[in-house]
Amino acid sequence: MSTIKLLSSDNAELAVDKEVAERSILIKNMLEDVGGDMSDQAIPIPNVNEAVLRKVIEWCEHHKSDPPPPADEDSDSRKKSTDIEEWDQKFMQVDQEMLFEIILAANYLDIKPLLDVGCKTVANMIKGKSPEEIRKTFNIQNDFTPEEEDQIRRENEWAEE
Amino acid sequence: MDSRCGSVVALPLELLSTIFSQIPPSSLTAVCLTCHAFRNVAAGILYKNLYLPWNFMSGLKLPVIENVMTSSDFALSKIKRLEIVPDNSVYPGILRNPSNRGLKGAEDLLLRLILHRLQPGQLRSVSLSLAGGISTETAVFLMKTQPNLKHIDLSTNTRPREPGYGDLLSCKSVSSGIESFGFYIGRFEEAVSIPFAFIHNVLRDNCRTLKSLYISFDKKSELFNELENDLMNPQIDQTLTARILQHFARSPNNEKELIEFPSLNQLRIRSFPKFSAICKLANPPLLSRFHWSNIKTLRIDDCSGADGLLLDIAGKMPNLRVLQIQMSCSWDTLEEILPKLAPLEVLHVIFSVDGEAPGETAFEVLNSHRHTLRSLWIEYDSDHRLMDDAISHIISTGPHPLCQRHWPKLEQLSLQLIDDYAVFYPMENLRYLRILHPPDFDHRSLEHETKLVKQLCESLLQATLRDGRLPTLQVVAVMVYDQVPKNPHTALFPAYFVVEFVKTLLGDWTVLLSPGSHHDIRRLFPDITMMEFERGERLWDSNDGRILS
Repeated sequence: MSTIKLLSSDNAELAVDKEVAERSILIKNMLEDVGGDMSDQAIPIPNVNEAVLRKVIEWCEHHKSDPPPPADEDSDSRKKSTDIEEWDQKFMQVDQEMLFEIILAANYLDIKPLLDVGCKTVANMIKGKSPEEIRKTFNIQNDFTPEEEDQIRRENEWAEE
Repeated sequence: MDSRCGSVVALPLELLSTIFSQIPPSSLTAVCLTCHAFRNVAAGILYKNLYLPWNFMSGLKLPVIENVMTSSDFALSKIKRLEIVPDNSVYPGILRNPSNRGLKGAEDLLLRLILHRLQPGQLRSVSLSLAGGISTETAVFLMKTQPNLKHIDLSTNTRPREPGYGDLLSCKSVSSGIESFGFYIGRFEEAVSIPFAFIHNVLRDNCRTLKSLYISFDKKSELFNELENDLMNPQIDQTLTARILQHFARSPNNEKELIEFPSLNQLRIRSFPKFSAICKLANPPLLSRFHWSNIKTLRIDDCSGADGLLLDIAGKMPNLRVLQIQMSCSWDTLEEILPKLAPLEVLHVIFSVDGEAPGETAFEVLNSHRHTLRSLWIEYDSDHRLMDDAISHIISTGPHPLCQRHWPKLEQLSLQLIDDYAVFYPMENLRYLRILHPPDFDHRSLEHETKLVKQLCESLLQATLRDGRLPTLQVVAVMVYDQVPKNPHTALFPAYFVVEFVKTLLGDWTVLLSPGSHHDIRRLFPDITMMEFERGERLWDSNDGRILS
């Protein structure tokens, strides 16, 4: 099995199985463009630092033999948004900064299933919480005036119908 | 503030939007109240649909209108779909005569005031026909200010000399690229030619992009009577009706005027007067303009005499997946066409019987659809009930394992059951059960039906627990008398129950029934077809959209 090298934004070189790295559609397309042989040259991943890149590779390793995601998955995956498989749940038990970095990296590297898991994890952190609890969770400042809050409550009422 | 602060807010907008789209509306309202950054993103999802609840006794739900009218331009600018939805709650004090369908003048004005607050061109979809007619003036205003509509479902009450009377007629520059168009010709349509001219304009300008079309009549409307009389007239060619209808079907003077439907795959019609006569009318006939080989959904409700058309087209629809024929043909016709059709996913039939009632073996004709059907509704529209043998042939009252394999995909079932619902044997995938009563049956109170449904669910639970699993049933609908009105046209409506099987603190399983409205069920279970004739593009974007896309 061939190995390729990735170069993180902080100049760390990581060796990865080609098959694992190709979970990233960005890398897969890149390799296809250059004809597949990148064994002597590291691929720069300028938006992702070493710690995050290692995390992403760990995820790709574990999911390397997953079947490709179905083309049309919007309706089904939305319904079961709390369903995250156990390994992924544990994997996502990181501090918030790392969680958002993983989401950004998955988005940049075009790893849709990882992006999905990341978004679902954040969605689950929000579901069922009050505005104050959400603010606490994400350390957000309330920047509404009481009048604005009243207005929004009124609008929310018809939106919930 | 530490360095973590704002990191979630710093996510790109489209990622925040992906995250929020996985959150149910009840939690999204809280997201809107956290901070401006969240609200700006969540608003696009939360305020996408404006539902205006409407009750035939008390009209539009005024507190909702008040909330909408006092909302910010920002929230209102996010609305993409406007829909009038049924509401079961009645407001004392503003009761009206329920046979007077259509928005009252003041209600119509409120609707128009809401439209005034929207940005031109922001709406993609409207469904307003439920209330039974908006004024011509409002319809014209809607068409003029919202040229980007892709889905239109309308009904107008045209009164001659009303403001806008001539405008609707000349409303030529309606949206182009409409994909779904529905029109309900309501009770108080007085000016015959106006809705026809409007329909004609829309069809002429959009017939190449239209994927879904439905037209329905109110049988008590003046227009319906007029059409029916004309169609019985031996000199039909000289009647106004014939001239109007031929306008749709005639050979055009130029290419642009030709009305045919190359993209259409959903056709739904209801309550057409003298349907068999309409089918034959005009030369070339109106119905020859449909490309039957493209049709995936065909629904014909309450158009007696559809037999001829059905026999004619049965072999021409290789792509048909959804067939709904209610009170429009006889069992003999169904028996003849069913084996000729491609395997169906949805079959809803209410049929009459010419001769003898279909017996036990009659339902053998369903065999070619048995392995594909997801939704089945069989009802016998006559004074007799379906023979018990026939019913048991479909639902298999016995626990024999062979019986369960009969319907591997069936999720939704509507059947005439009597007395003891508990005879029902669990099917592997059944999620929605709609219980109908035979015509000779005394309708019972909601209380009584609730008891029976509970018994049914309990016996289902016991039966499936023996196999080490839980029932898949999620929704039950029963027909009951509405407690409020005693109006013969509206007295019957289905009562819906959400069914949950929950574990008690003692460790047993029990049945939890929660009554819900039609709208609740639609929202909670978007992939369940409610089976009623629904207007607008409901069939298009939900359950059947999946198989049609």
